[in-house]
Amino acid sequence: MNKMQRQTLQGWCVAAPIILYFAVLSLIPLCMVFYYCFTDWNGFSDTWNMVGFDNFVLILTDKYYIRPLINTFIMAIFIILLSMGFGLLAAILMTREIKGVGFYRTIFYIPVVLSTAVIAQMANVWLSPIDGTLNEIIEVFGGERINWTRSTGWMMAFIIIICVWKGLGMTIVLYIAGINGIPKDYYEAASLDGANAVQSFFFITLPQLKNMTTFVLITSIIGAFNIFEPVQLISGGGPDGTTKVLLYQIYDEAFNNFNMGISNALSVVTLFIVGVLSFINLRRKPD
Amino acid sequence: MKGTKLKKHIPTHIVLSLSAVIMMYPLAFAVLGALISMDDFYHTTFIPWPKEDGFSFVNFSYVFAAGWFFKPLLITLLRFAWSTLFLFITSMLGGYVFSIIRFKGQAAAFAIIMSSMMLPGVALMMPQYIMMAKFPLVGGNNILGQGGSGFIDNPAIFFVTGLFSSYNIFLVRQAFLSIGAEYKEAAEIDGANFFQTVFFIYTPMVKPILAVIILNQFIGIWNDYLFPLMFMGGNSEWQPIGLSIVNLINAYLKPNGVMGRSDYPAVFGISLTMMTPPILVFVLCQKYFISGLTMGGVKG
Repeated sequence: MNKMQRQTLQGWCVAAPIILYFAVLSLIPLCMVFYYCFTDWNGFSDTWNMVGFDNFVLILTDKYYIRPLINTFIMAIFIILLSMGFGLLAAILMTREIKGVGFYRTIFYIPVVLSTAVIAQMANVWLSPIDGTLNEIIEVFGGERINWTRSTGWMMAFIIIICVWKGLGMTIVLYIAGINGIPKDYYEAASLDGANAVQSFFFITLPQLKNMTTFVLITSIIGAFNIFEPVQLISGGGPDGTTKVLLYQIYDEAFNNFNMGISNALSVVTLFIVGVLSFINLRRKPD
Repeated sequence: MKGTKLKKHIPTHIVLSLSAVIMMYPLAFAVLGALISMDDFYHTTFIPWPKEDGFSFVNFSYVFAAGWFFKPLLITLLRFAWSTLFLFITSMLGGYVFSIIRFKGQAAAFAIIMSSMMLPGVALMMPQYIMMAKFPLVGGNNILGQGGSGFIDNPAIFFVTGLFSSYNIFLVRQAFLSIGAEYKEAAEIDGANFFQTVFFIYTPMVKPILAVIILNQFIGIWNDYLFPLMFMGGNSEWQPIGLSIVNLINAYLKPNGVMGRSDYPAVFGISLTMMTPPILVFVLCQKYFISGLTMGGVKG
């Protein structure tokens, strides 16, 4: 056995089990989702009918099913605007050669490593309409108690705030890495030419962070498609299903409404949106 | 000179300190809330503070209620140890064969494995559930996958999923590429076999990446909620800590007792206990978390 044969044997002995495992755990489900999305299976009966594109027509025309998709994008937009705005600001402040950067970074990053589900449970203490802390505060100031759980706007706002609070540290750390990667002489040259701090920011920092911003943007949108715990544990999708997000709808359809077919059709929609975004992300040109 | 520099940064420190206070406020509120009694917490506004009963640690004891903590903890740690062992083996071997050696079909094999990074987990969750429910010859299923419940509510599910990560293979491969193949040639001359070369020569050189993989896996497994909810939701005997603690908190969030109130201090006590290990792990090993994140962001 020569060297090439031996290495081919070694290579495939490692690669083949991994590919086989990947095929069973991911490729079979990938084929299954494209089958079950065309059925009306309820999740437990032994028989089902093929219904063609009915599930897709339904989820793309019925308000009940479009709402989670729109909600996901609304939340994504607000989460991205807030976390990118605050994240970039904090990162700029933290790259100013000040003392204690490590301390601030630790503080900002701690929420990232916490369980979203447990955070959502703690948020319930604040948001309970009966004796929640937020209503107690409103009462101290002489305001009217608000039944948060009956308000779509408030529920969406709280879910967004929780997601921003939890994810901000990640955006900050990424932007710090991006800013530290910008050569210092760019700024020196600019200041020699008479540029002020604002001009340096808009003509050097922002353009140089373009690649990092794309990365943060795409991972944030993908992140919005992973929102589940705050919706399930705080709003339960309510009031009247108006705060549902796509992932919660997938779960809800399968396990509460017993529409496995529609759940799989929603999965296909997610697959395309997130798949395209991931593809763009992986195709990014390196800095 | 030094004085002016310090002065110049005062506004920066003020803004950052204020932001830090806002970020930590919910956790600080929870700590104080967990230290006081239910009666004292009633009508709390901005800062929970004892009125009559004083501080006490009793709210941190509810988490240890029978069946809710120690068994789930054991299950979580077993799952972590098992999956990390496999992640370690697959990442090191995979990283090695796709960087140090050359073989026929290498590019194709690597492309297939890397393509899994583009498949979103949330979109495949539902069909994975169906497949696991219908898995042949598991959990009472016959060869056609009928008759039983397969891997659903079956503890084996924790030990057959998540055993490799293409992202981790990618990270290790990048590191091995920068090390180069010279060590392998030297090891061959010294008579080292394939596994000795991978695990005793190359692996020790990428310890920081190994740390990133293990730490991220710990946080992921510890906090995992949706996966156990779907696959183990109907079997309260085998729930990992991320799910069992959330269920335990539900019991305290419900209004109960003579006063018809929820026990919020207990909610905080339980939540904080559950959050302590990830916070400790992060604070002690934060350079690995930060480098792990920027590895994907900058090079990815």
